[in-house]
Amino acid sequence: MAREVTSPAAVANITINGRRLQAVTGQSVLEAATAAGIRIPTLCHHPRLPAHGSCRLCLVEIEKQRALQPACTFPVSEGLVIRTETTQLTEARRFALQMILSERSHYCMFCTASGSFENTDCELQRLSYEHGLNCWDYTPHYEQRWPVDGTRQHFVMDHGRCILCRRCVRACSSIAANHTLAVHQRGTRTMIGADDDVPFGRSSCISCGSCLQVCPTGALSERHSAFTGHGTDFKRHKAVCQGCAVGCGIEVLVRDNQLARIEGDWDAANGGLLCAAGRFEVLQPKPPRIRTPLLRERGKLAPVSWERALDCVAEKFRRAERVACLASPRLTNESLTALTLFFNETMRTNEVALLYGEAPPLNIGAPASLADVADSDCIVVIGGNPMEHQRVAGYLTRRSLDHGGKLILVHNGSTPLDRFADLHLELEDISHPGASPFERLHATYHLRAQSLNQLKRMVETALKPVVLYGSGLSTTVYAAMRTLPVQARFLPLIAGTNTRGAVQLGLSARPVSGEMLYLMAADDLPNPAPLPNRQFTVVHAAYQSTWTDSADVVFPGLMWAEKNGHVTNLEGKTLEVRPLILAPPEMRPAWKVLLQLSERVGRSLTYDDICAFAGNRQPERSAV
Amino acid sequence: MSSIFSQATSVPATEPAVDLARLDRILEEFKSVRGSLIPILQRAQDAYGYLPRQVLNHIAARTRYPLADVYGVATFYAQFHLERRGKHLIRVCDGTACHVRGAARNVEILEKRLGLVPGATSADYEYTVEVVYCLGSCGLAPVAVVDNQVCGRLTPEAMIHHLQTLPQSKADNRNGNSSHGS
Repeated sequence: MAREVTSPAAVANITINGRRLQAVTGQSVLEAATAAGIRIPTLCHHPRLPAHGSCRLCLVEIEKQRALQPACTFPVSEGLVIRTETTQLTEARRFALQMILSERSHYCMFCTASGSFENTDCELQRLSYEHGLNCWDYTPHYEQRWPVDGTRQHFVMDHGRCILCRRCVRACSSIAANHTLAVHQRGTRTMIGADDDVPFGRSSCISCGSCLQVCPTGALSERHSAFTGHGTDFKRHKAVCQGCAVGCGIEVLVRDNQLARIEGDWDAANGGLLCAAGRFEVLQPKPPRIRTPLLRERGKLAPVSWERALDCVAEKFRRAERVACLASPRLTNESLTALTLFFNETMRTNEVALLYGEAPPLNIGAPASLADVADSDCIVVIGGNPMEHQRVAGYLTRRSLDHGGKLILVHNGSTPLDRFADLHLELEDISHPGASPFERLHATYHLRAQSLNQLKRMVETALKPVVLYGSGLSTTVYAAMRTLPVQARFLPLIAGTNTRGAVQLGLSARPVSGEMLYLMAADDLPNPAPLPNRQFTVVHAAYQSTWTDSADVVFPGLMWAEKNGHVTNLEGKTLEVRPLILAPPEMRPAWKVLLQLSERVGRSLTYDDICAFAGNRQPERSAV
Repeated sequence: MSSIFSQATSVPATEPAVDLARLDRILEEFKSVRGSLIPILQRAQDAYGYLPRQVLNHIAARTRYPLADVYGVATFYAQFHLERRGKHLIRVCDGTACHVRGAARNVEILEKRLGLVPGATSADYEYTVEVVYCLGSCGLAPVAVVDNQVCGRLTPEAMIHHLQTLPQSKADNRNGNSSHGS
């Protein structure tokens, strides 16, 4: 992690292995060497974590220093003369490795993490190979048993493979800002533990998996991808998580057209951080896929050809008085564009809405980025629960608190952020009573003027305030937010992956009416509320569900990792979604099906029509 | 009430409910002091005789120190105890000098008479036995410290004598009020 540099122009002339280099005063010797392309072996160090200097693998010789120095913590100053490859250093590193290996049971042949290649899971094994360690100098105590903690659902901790490098502890505090992990006990009894030494699964762990992502050995291993291959067996693809509106950058490990593992993309706005939903839950088993178009004949759904299914739907739609459409906010901008075009222009109906997905007004003030949240000195969370629905934004909020930021919470009920709030204000429910469940989506909450003033006074004293605001607040509250000081930045807490893209197309979550329903479910699974009964229902879905069971026609659709297009996240950034795996042959994207339907209904759309609205241009379009 | 010659078991009873008001007063004192975790733990241990789980949890909840760090610090330093300790602390030295002068016999007599192995606390929370390595009084070897009183040239007989002269607590005093510096 970059150290703080006292003055921007503090350049230091140093020598590494006889090469004269310029480095920044205060940065670590390791950083300077890495920048110059000189590799120093490391183990406890991770470029995204604060330096720790405990493993002694990065030892270097520095002239005028009494002993060998760890490069990861030694600051650069003018005139340093450093050597990184000498016989003494190789011996010291070999010794450090031997000590680490002797401490616990590093039995590589029974471990899922492998270090035999460049792109490696186990840095300890790789370094051992590099240093030619082919026997134990100090025999490990094989009779000693180390605990294995399998109480977490998605990943397992084997203390026998732990080298106490504290990467997990540092990731838990500096990346996830959750502080579940710490070093307990001391000396030979030192252990990585959670809270007051409870099993991980019963601790305050949020299963974000940051520790798993930085673990240099097989101590932490994911259940889903364990023993499915070594690092080099997988193809890595950078992609966008489609779990919620945050749109985190992910790296997906794919083997044989299967999603094996998901890691946080270090270079994306989320900086490697993910939530349990995006990292693990997304890989959990799903209901069976819809594999061919299905048509209800004599009361039973039976597989038919695309031609037959499309013809049948077109026939019904041509004679329909009013067709309504509900769309999942997990669809891409391209599919949503095709959908609005098809229903507005071809079907001449305005009964098009989102299945769910709430977005507050987007034009409150200067927009905040995710980086602004982590960097803020005063965060207001009003009318939303980011720790549940936009989790990475919630974790970044907690990170800002670690840097001394203030937190103002405005909500009813309880959230995990409550205990960190410097000010907690209650909302008042002013929605009209007896509203139907659909109308309750638009429940209105009001904040009394006195509380608003209290909030304003606190925000006014901050330099970089960020307001995370949800939907369903009263107009007064939104109006008051617009009057906050100019330095305030705003991030809407949007529910639904691409709800923002849909809102920009004029869509919103509301009830629709019509005797026929076209449900674009994408890879969404039903919420408990069943759909209202219609004369004729078409469902375009990836997975079997109660929706497809009750449909008259079912089209097989794509799941998230097969889609191609764009989504718009809560910041308003348009993110490219590329296929990571090949879809089964019969699947078609939503927009394509709509084009084919439009041809049959008689007022055909073209691919160009969609591109004209979607693509990378702002797909802004008011409802007809 | 158990006499010192009855066999006491070393199984600690379940933690009694802790009165957190005393801890709240300590936390209030350190409210605006940064880096005060160790002093808080020390004062809490003075108040309760040891650091019950509830106390660690309460410190974490009231300060912004993560529970994992509070527990980490409490288990790092030998001065902190997470299990309730006896009213009387018997520290027997088994350093080199004491070892060669027969410290083992003094440990043995404690085990025989109190049923306590080193590190254990009697079930009635009267005694805690510890073996330490050098108390800095090698000239008096073998040596033990019983409730901060140094007992030199110790024989098993003298050890029993020291135990017998210890003040006995009332039977109902089970709240672990005593504290012992270490």
